[in-house]
Order: sequence, then structure tokens, then C-alpha cells
Amino acid sequence: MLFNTLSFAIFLPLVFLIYWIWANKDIRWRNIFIILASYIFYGWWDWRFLGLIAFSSAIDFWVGLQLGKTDEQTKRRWFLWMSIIVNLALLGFFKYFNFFVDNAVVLIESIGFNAHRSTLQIILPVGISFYTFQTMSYTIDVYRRQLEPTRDWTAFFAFVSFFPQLVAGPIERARNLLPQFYSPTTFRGEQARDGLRQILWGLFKKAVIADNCALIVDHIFGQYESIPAPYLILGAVAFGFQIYGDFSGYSDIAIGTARLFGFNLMRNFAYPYFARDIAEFWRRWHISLTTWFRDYVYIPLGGSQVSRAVSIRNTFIIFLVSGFWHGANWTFVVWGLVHATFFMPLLMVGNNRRHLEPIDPNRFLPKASDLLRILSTFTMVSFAWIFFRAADVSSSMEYIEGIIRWQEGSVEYFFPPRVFLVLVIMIVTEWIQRDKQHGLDLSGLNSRVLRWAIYIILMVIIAAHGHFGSTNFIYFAF
Amino acid sequence: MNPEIRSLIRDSITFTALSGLVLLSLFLLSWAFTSDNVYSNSETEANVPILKNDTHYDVLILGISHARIFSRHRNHERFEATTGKSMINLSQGGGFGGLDNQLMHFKYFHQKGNTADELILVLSPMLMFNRNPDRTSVAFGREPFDPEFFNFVLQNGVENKIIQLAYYLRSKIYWDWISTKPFSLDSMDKQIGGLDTAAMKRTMPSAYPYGLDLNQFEDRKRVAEAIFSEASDQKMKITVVMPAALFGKWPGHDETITWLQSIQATYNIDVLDLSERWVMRTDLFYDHHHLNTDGVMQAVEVLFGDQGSGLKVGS
Repeated sequence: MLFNTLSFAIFLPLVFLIYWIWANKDIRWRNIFIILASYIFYGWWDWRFLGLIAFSSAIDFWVGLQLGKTDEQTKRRWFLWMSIIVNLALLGFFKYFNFFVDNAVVLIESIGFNAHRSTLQIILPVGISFYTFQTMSYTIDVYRRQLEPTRDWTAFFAFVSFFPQLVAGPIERARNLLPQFYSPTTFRGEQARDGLRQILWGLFKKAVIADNCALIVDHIFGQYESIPAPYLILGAVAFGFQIYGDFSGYSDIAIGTARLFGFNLMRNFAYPYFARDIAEFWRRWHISLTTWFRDYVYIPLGGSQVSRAVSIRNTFIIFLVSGFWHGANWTFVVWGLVHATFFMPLLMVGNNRRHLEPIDPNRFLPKASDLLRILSTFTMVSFAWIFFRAADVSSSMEYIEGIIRWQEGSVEYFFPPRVFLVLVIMIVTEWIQRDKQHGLDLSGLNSRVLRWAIYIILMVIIAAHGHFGSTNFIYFAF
Repeated sequence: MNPEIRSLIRDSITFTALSGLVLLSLFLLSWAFTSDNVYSNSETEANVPILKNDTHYDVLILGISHARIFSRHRNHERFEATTGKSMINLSQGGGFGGLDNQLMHFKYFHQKGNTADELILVLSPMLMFNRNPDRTSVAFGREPFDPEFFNFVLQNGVENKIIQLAYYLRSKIYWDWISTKPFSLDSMDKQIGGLDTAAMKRTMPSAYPYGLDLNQFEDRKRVAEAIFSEASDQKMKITVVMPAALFGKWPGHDETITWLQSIQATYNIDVLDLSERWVMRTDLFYDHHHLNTDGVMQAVEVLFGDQGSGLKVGS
């Protein structure tokens, strides 16, 4: 089920009412109800893959119990590896099987042997990269004794399948979310209202920003060979806003929805396009994934507490793995590599943690130096998006060549003024709200009339300019 | 129920109602503001504003922009003056509709009690290989709001008609709709400088997103035959025109002609192939595949004055 559809508009209030009127009276029944609602939510897309979530949940629940029963390190390590191998095998098969087969064939043929190409028609289960990482975080934390293994299967299954964040994150850490399923939830009016505001803001970013930009992006990337250079730049920039609107919009709706049910999910985006360098960008973009890789890959590899050479190697590994996580295509690997290359100079001069403080606090306009930094970071990020969006690496190189050759000209398709207007609305709003959790956090605004006027204007813009139902979320494919 | 939950539900309902009310007000304002716009066939790309009730015409034209040019730039008046025939042009340019859309407007024309003696379907080959123009959400963005038309689309539209109708309503509060006025150049005298292969390369992928896909072709044949069937039911003479282009034949031209020949007898169709009539005649085109006013008048001459000139495709 998609957040931007009529089905979800009916599903959400229905589940909300049943949850608060009947299901929340007992923790166990509440968790079972959440599992049921989540499975309906997921099964709306394809019920056949429900078994996969249930299997992944069951394996990690069982591994957690076994880890809790033994102190023997060798056994514990065996159980941990069992969980990791099962989860990565599921991910590898459904997401990367054809990629590996294709590349193996190319490799074998390149050294002069004949290879029989045999790929399978594999459907990528929506959200598999998200929930497998989430369950793995549980077993790793239990293995590290940072978390007590749960004996409550309803809490664990609800944690894995919790519908607001099941298919596109945030990738929750068991330490944060799982304990919330142990205790009763009480309805807090202000939390729920803020959740609704966050949903509204997420819907604006998804339906209005992302889906309007998508029309421009699809047109430009679809015909990049014959598009003049200024429009190629426009295409890359528009894709930057498309993917931001799409993914951060989804995260906002997910976090807002969870808050309606009394749950707090971790923050996933913190206005990444206002970052002053690439390192800060990665502290603000897809936070749940970057911190996952930091906690479970980078730090075990030694993190930054190692020699300069190893630290550089670790950083490259993280960016490459992060790129590959996004999809079975070399474009994502190159995208990760490009970001690693941008990040490296900061790491080498020790400047990668330079911008930890808020951006220009107590100022309406940014300082000129910060504005320049923000714009240069945005330019680098937009450049890297070309690899992310292009169909393959050679297309992305041709796209960049098209920009470098710089042939001017006009195309029939132009940037519609209303898309420009809504982009300005989003950028200005998020700049003003940059110290808040989300763009529509109006807790500091006392006038009820003004608050309602803002909500209604936003709703009218969504209704008038949004796209509904026909457009998927980009990150569903990851 | 927890009073806080009750309060949240009450506020959510109030918010939804108020938002709906604002949208409705904007819609009604726009409707009032634009209802005075009276269009002629030369002054609009849309159909609803020019459709009357219970009116008879000699000729009815269907197609996309290659057919709309018979009305654009006051060519409509020239057509009627030259031929002495009254004409209604239901074609839509700009990628706003394909064959399904044409069929629907054709049926709507009849539902309103109108009649015509002859159907001229300008059948651009790209229409036979691409059903996307019919699925575009913006299909009715240029039609003024008309409850009767809304209801007709609801009952006769394509599978994504709900999205199309939602856009139909939403588009009425857009500034570019509110500010649209009847428009027309007195004539289109522009002449293309020559063949621009780069521009051609740009056009083709969007005109043929599926290439010459046979599934699309089969599906489009079905809709085209429904148009012919509707015309036959109304006892109309049917002429199919393959449009002229500076570069000659469009991809899929030959497949379309072969199929037309196979059904020519069934529906008693005359097929007139103009595709290679004016190849590289830069003086007759304002772009690669749209005739300027001189070109249109030459086409009218061929259609009504010179039909035995060897262009007609035999069965």
C-alpha cells in the first residue's frame, strides 16, 4: 500500500480508530493488531512475500533466544553468523542474484570462455533491504549484549513489520523501537497532532515536489543525448529535489504515522541540502542507514581509531557498501565511490567533523561564506546524483559529457513556473524551520488561526498540484 | 473514547472540510471568471467550448495536431470558405489525446444531438503505436468545466479516468487556465528553414516510446475500428488521411496503410496518403510535420478538389 493513495487514506483512520478504541487495552493484543495491520499493509502490494517477512522475523527471534541461553562465545558467534547469513542470503538472492550472474558471465567471457547466461525472473520484495537490516541490528545488539533478547514474539514481530516504516525505513535500531512494544502506549494529543503535521509536510514533499520534479527528470534523462547542456544541469538538480522530496517525504509520513500510534521513530533527514560540506551532508541524509553502517560496519572495522591508511580504506568500504545497498547496478557503486572521493579530502585534513553546530543559528539569511559552502556541497551532491539516476554507467558518463561539451539550445519542455514556486516554498520553509524536527513543526507559533491557515494552504497546494496513486516511492526499489 | 482522541478526530474532520471548502470556492470563482470565454474552433485546442447541441455539419475532423491545423490560425474559416462546407474539428494537439480520446469526443458529439455527413480522420502513424496520449492525466486540462461532459467521461472514459477527471477539476484553479483567453493568429506563415536531424532525433523517442510495438498496434487498431464503426452507424462517409511531413513517411506508416487496406471494404473507407506529397517542401511547413497555412490550403485542395490525383490508396 502506498502512502499517497486512497487506500491508505482509508486504511490509516480505520486502523487508528480500532487501535485506540479496542486494540490498545492489552499490550499483547495491541502488538498482534499491529502485526495484522502491518501484514495487510504489506500484502496489499503482494501477499506472497509476507512469508519472507515472517521467516526473517522468526529466524532472528529464535537466534535472539538462543543467544540469551548461552554464554559460550563460539556458540554465540555461530548463532550470530546464522542470522547474518540467512538475512544476507535472502537479500542476495532477491536483490543481487541476476546482477552477480550477469557480471560473472561478462567476466568469464572476457577471459575467453563461453558462459551460459541463466538469470531468473525475480521480483524484488518491497522493503527487503530495510527490514533485513532492521532484524540484523537486533541480533548484533543482542550478541554484543547491548540489548536483552526478547521473549515476546508479538513485540518482536511487530517491531520487524511495523507498517509505517516497514517498506522504506527509517531503518530502526532494535534498542530504540523494540522496547516501545513492551510497554503500553498512551495517547498524547500534541504528539499525535504533530504527527499529522509531519504527515502533511511529507505528503507535500512527495506528491508535489518529488512527483512534479519526476516529470522533468524523466523527460531529460530519457532523452539526454539530444538535450542542451543547461537542461542537463537542470535534470540533475531536479533529480536532487525529486529524490529528496520522495524519500524524506516518505520518512516524514512514516514518522508522523508512527506518532499517531504513540511510537517514536528515529529521525531520517535533517535538511541535508543545507549541509556545508559532504561530511555534514552524510550526517543529515538517510541518517538511519548511515548510522547503521557506522555502528555495524565502520566501527567494527576500526573506524577512525586506526592508521590513516586503514581509516581511508574503511571510509571507501562504507561508501561502496552504502552505494551497493541501494541497488544491483554499478551506477550505485560509482555513486558511492564519487561521494567517497568528495569525502576523502575532508578526512585527510581532519575536517570531516567541522560542521557539527547548527547552521547560522538566530539568523534569517545565511552568512555569505555558509551560503557558498551550501551551494558548493549541493553542486557536488547533484553531480553525484547523475550516476544514481542514469540507467547505466556509460549513460551517466555520456550525460556528464553532454554538460561538459556545453551546447546551448532550447527544448520544448521547460521548467513549469508552478514547480519552481513549490520548490521555493519548500526550500524557504525548511530553511526557516531548520532547527525543528520537520518543516511543519509549528509548535512555536501561537496564533491558531495562522497555523490553520498554513495547514489549509498546504492542503490546497497538495490537492491542486500533487500526484496521487500512480507514482511509486523511489526507495521502495532499494 | 479518550476526549483528546475525539478532539483530534473533530479537528481532522474540520480541517478536511475547510480545505475542501477553500478548493470548492477557488473552483467556483474560476468557473465564474472563465465562463464568459466564448471560443470558436480557430481559437481553442479544446472541444467542449465549441460543441453545440443539435447542429449539423458537412465535415467532422478527428486526429491530433496534424488535424487540428485545419482549424488553427483561422484555417478553419479558410477551409469553410474554400470548400463551401461547414466543418467541426474535434482534434486535439499537444499530446492531449490519442484515439480513445478522439472516439470519446466523437461519441459525445453525437450524444449532444449533432450530426455530420463526412468523417475525416487524420491518422498519424504514431497514434497506432502509442496509447500513452490517452492515459495522460492532463487529457481534459484545456476543456472548461461542464458537468455534462464530466459525467460523460465518468461513464465512457479510459481506465484511468478518475485521475483524468481529478486533473480536469484541479486544472480549473490553475492560473494558466484562468488566464487562458480565446487566441488565434490570423494565419501561420512561418516556414521551416530545413530538416534538423537533431530535432527529429528528439521527437521520435517521445512519439514512439514503445517503438513499433505490435501489442500497442493491435490495441490501437481496435480503437480506430471503433471510430469507424461509430461513423458507419451514423451513416457518415469516412476518409482516412495519412498526414504530410517534411521528412515523408513516419515510422509505422507502411504497417498502418497495409492494415487500412485490409479493412477498407468493411467500413467503406477512402484512404488518402499525403505523407510523401510535399517532402522537403520547406515553404509548406512551419515545423517538421505541421503544415503552415499555405500547406493546409494545399491539403484542402487535394482533399476536396483533386481526390483522384493518384494519392488515393486502392483496396
